Amino acid sequence: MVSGPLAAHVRLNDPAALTQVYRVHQAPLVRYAHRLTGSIETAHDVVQDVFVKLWEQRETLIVELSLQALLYTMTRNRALNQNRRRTRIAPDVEVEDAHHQATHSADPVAPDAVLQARELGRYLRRWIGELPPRRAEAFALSRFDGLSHAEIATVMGLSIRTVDTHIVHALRDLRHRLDALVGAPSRQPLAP
Amino acid sequence: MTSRSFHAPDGRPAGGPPDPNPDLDRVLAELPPDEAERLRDTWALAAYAAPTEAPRPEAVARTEQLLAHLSAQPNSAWMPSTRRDRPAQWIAVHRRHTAWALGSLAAATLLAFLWVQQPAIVTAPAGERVLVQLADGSTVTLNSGSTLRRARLFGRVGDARAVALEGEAYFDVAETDRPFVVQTFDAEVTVLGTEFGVRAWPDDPEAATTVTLVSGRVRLASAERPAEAILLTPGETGRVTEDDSTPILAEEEIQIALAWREGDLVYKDRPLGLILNDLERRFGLRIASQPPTLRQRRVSVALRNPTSADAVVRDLALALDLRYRARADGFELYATPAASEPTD
Repeated sequence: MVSGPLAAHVRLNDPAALTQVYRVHQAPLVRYAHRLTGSIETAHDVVQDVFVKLWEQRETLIVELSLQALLYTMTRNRALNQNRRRTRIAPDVEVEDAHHQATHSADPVAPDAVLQARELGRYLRRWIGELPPRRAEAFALSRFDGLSHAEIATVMGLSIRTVDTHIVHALRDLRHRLDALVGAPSRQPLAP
Repeated sequence: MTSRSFHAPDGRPAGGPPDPNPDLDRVLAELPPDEAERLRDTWALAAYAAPTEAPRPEAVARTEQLLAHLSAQPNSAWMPSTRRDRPAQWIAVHRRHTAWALGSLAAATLLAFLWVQQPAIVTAPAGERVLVQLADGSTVTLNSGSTLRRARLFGRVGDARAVALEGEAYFDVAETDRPFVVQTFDAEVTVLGTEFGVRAWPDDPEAATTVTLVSGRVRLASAERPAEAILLTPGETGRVTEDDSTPILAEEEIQIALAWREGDLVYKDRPLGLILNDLERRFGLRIASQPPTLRQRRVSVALRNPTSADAVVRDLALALDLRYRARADGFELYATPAASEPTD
C-alpha cells in the first residue's frame, strides 16, 4: 500500500516513483475500472489515462486523504465518464459472471456437504454481485482493495456513515446466505 | 465458530488483505457481540471471493512505455502551441536565446541545438494532396492547403515523435515504442501506432479539431486542458469542444470524415462556410457569399471527386436554391430573389 512519501515523490517529478506507483496500483485499479465499465479494454485505457493525468498534474496535485483514494477517485470518474460518453449501459460484469456461475455451478449443496474453498468463493462472488451495485462496490473496495471507510466515502462521494452501513448490510446479507446455504442459522459446527 | 470448516488447510482463508481493519472493528463494536462475531467471520470468509483476474501484460507494458516517455520529455520545445500568434512567439523565443548566446558558449550550443530543432514545414498546394514520409516510417497524407511541421531531426533523436498540423491530414503511424503526438491549434492527439484522420482548420465555422480513428488507439485532449483526454477506439470520431474542456465523441461516419482521401467532398449537416472553405483550398480560389449569413446554413452534400469548381458551385447553388456568378478571383453565391421574395 502506498501512502504519503510516494505521493510526495510524484509531486517532485520523480519518474521512478511514478512507475512504482503504477506497478503497485494498476492491477486493482484495472479491476475496479473493469467492474465499472464492463470492458477490460476500456478499463486498461482508463487506468493509463489516470496515470498520464497524474503525471501531467504533478505540479498542482493536492493529495488530501491518500494517493490511493485519489487514484480510485480518478479511475471512478473516468470510468463513469467513458460510460456516459459512449451512451450505453455497461454490462454489469459481476451480474453476468454471477449468472454464468449460477447456471454452471453444481446443484444446491446439501446442508451437510463440506464446502470446498473454490465452491465457496463462487457462491460468495455471486452473492456480492447480487448486492445493490453501490453496496457491492463499497464492499469490494473495503474487502479486496483495502480502502478505509474514509477513502471509500471520498471515492464514491458518500458519508462515512453510509459506507459503514453498506459494509454491515453487505456482511449481514452474505451471512444470511451462508446460513441458508448450510441449512441453518446454526451455532454448531457445520462439518468435520 | 460456524465457519471453521470453510477455512483453508493452514487455518486462514486465502487472498485478501489480512491487515487489521480499524473501520470494521469500529462498526462491529456497535453491534451485539454475538452478531459482531458472526459478521467478522463472514468478513474472513469473503476472502475466498477475492478477484483473481490479472491485467493484460501488453497493456501494462504499453502504459509503462507511455509513462516513461512522458516523464522523460514533458514538453516538445520547438512546437508552437498557441493559436494565432505563431510568428510573434517565434521571434520572441529567438531573441531570448540570442541574448543568452552572447553570454556563454553553453548558450551558443543551445542555440545550435534549437536551430536543429526548428521545424521542417510541408504545405500541400491548392488542388493537391501530398504524401509526406517521415523518418520513422510513418506517412501523412495532407489535404489541399494543409501544413505539417515537424522537428528537423524528427524520429532520429530523442523520444518524441511530434508534429504540428494546421488543416486536414490522414496519418498512418509506424508502430514503435515511442508515442507519436499531433498538435493542432486546439488539441493534442497521442498515439502509439495507428491510422487516423485529423481535421483542424482554425478558420472553419465552429472550428474544432476532429479526429477519426481507423485502427489502433489514440488519446485526444484539448490544448487548453491536456489532462482531460478521451480515448478513441476504431470507428470513433472525437471532437474538441468549443469551451476547451474534455473532448467529446462525435456522431460522425468514418467514410464521410475520410472521403477527402479519395478526392470526394462529402458533408452531412455542415455549415456552408466550412464547405466553401474546403472548396477554396481545393481549387485555389475565393468564394464569396451574399449575404454572409449564408455561410451558416447547414448543408448535406456528396460530390464524387469533382474536377472543376464551376460544377461544384453550380451543384451547391442548385441544391440550396441560390444563384452564383463568376468573379475575377472565383465565385459569388447569392440568395435568389425567389428565395427571399416569393412574388418574383
